[in-house]
Amino acid sequence: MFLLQVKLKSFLNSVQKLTFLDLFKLTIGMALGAGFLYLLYIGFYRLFVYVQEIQLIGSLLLLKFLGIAFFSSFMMVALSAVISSFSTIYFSSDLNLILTMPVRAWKVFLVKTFETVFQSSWMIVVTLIPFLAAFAQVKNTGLSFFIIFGVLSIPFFIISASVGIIISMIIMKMFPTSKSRDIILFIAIFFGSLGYVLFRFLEPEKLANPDAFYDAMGYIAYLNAPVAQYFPSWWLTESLNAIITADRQLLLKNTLKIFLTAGGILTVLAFIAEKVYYPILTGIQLGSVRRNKKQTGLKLKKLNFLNKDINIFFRDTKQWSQVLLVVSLVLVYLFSIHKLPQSFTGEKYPVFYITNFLAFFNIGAAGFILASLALRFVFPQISLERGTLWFILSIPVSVEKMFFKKFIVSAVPMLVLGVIMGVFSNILLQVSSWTVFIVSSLTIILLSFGLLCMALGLGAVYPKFDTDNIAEIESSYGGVFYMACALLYIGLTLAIEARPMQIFIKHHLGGGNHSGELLWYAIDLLVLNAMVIILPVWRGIKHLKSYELREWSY
Amino acid sequence: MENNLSIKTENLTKSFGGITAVKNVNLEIKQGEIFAFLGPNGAGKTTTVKMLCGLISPTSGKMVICGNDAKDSQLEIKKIIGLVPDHPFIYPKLKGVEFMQLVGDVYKVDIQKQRERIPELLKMFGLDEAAQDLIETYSLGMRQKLIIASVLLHNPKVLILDEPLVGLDPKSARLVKDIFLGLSQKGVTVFMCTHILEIAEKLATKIGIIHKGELIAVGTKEEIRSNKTGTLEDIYLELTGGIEYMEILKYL
Repeated sequence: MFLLQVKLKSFLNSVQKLTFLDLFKLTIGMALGAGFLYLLYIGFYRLFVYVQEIQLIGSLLLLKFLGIAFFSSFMMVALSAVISSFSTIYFSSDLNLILTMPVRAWKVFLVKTFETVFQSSWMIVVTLIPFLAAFAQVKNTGLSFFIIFGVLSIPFFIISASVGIIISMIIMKMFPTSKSRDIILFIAIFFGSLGYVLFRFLEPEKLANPDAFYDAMGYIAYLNAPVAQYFPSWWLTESLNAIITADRQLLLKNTLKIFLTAGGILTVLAFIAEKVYYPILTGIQLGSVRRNKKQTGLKLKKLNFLNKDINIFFRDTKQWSQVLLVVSLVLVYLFSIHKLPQSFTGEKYPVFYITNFLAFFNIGAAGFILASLALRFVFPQISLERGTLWFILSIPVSVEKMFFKKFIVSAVPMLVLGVIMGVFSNILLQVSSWTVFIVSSLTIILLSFGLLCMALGLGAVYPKFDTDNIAEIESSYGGVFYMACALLYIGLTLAIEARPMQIFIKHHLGGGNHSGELLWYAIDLLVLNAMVIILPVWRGIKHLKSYELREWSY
Repeated sequence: MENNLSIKTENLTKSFGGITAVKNVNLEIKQGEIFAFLGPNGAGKTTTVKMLCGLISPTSGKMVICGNDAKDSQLEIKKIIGLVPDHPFIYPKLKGVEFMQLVGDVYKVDIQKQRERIPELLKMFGLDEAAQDLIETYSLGMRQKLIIASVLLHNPKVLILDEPLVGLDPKSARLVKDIFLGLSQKGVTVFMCTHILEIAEKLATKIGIIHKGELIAVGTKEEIRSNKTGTLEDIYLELTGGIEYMEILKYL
């Protein structure tokens, strides 16, 4: 089909156009990604080895994990497909051209369906690889495990994405407007955040603790029960389990179920699409409705760059709805911190030692969350000016000033989060040493400031103007590079503060005077932060000043 | 200002990698002149406009705008020019009136003056009823009118326009043309890239034709016509190689 050929040609052309620098960046990005996946693999492997060794229930628990992983992947792909299908199937820029061509609706719809399947599932597949590799290693399954997964994952993700596509189709049929996309996005994020918070509050870690159940038989029965038996995720789990147990009949039965369901759902989709797809497309109302009535009395207040960014943020559902995710992330984080000292109850170390020690590690954990938030909210700020760069660069406002205003807009939420995560988490940890409390809280606040400067600066050094999709900006070379730098910064901060924290804890127990030694660590921290704050901002401003606008709008 | 010149370029050149988009362009445009910059697609018009506005820096050559050397007075130049790009994109989540206010703020237009001028300008361009609507609901022509209105808010000395009449309805196009003439009489210099030769013929006091990055003709309409016969369109096609289109048309 020509639509698939266009996609393939475009991809091949962009590969051919890659310069040496592009290849270098790509290699670095892939190496960093592979490193991250390897770390995930190590983590899963250790967990699975531990679980496997639990007598009686080890294997059952592992299978349960596999079932839960596939079930959550199924749900996540379905949810992701609801959101991405709006962009790929109903609001794609090539649709205006396609509508004028003599192509059957079902053919266009199926191509767009495959695009949606790919977009909504590739990241899940990448994350599943270290999980499955660790599982296969522990279970000693051999290559056939991966071959079967490779073959079955395609129809499996087609089924899950199709569920999302059917939902979006129903919504578009009922409300054929671009606003539907915003509403669905908000609903998805709201329920996603709520589910995430509730799931954490249910304390799923108790699953690995048989004591939490009333009787051992009840626990084993629970582990033996399938995870969502009638879902394709369980068919996939059983298929892979059939390889371990060498049960060919079970494998064949579940493989057939998956393929027949995928084929059936695609046929149904094609059939419905032939009838409703073009009518939906031609009936879509783009953008908000303009008020056609006479508007009286213009409210003219001063509007500057600061207000502009705030107004745009709160009017864009894609942006403000993400605040819900931040809130849920912080809530879950604080809840986990609150529960952490309890999990050490009965250990041989005194409680005060554990809480102060945890306060030190909290710097790293809070730093990681702040780094991720800065990647999501601060790093894309310059890239998101893509269409209006002509305006930004042609007005009599210096790049420094514009940068400073962007900085202010991000500084307030980042510092508030820094204070919440620094001070509140230490209160919840019941850190007994005031010195440890103050130093760790201040370090987290300092990290939030440093990460803010780093994200804003590197976002300007490595802008991605060819997309308004924040996920693409985050996963660009610049985004990955920022995250690597941020992790290095957090790691170095921990390395510098390790010894002073040890001194503070000892001092709390009645240690000696170490002010001379501490001064050196303070200087190290100061130098590190000066570099993190100044260098990226300086490079970002320099890059924007020398930026050459090739297109009026990207 | 040298001989009342608003725009002066000397051997202005811009290369992208191995491709020279603009080659040794020399221009002298006086205050109050309407300069029409003509040329086929990819001739180097937009690149020249971007250099004049400081959006890209020249590879070599010199630019002086209202006595300010572009090399060291970029910010001063930005204060006195008004830019209207081709197919402009503006913040879709801002309201029309808010975009005007934003422009007023960055060009430091007094708030009292903003309160008077913004409703006037919006009304003039027929945007008063849509002023409180988000820009994402505007048509291309409405966006174009909003940008032209916003440019007029801060009274620029030089107006730089890339295809300013694209997307405008006949009434708005006529209004814009009259505005350019009025501004020119008040001493504002208008530098305008256009493909519409009729506009150049009717409005421009001076015309420049660029082809493959080189300025192949520049002067008043009379100067361009000297030693040549036919309309401006005939002369333009002759200079830019468009005559061969007659041959191509035979294949239809």
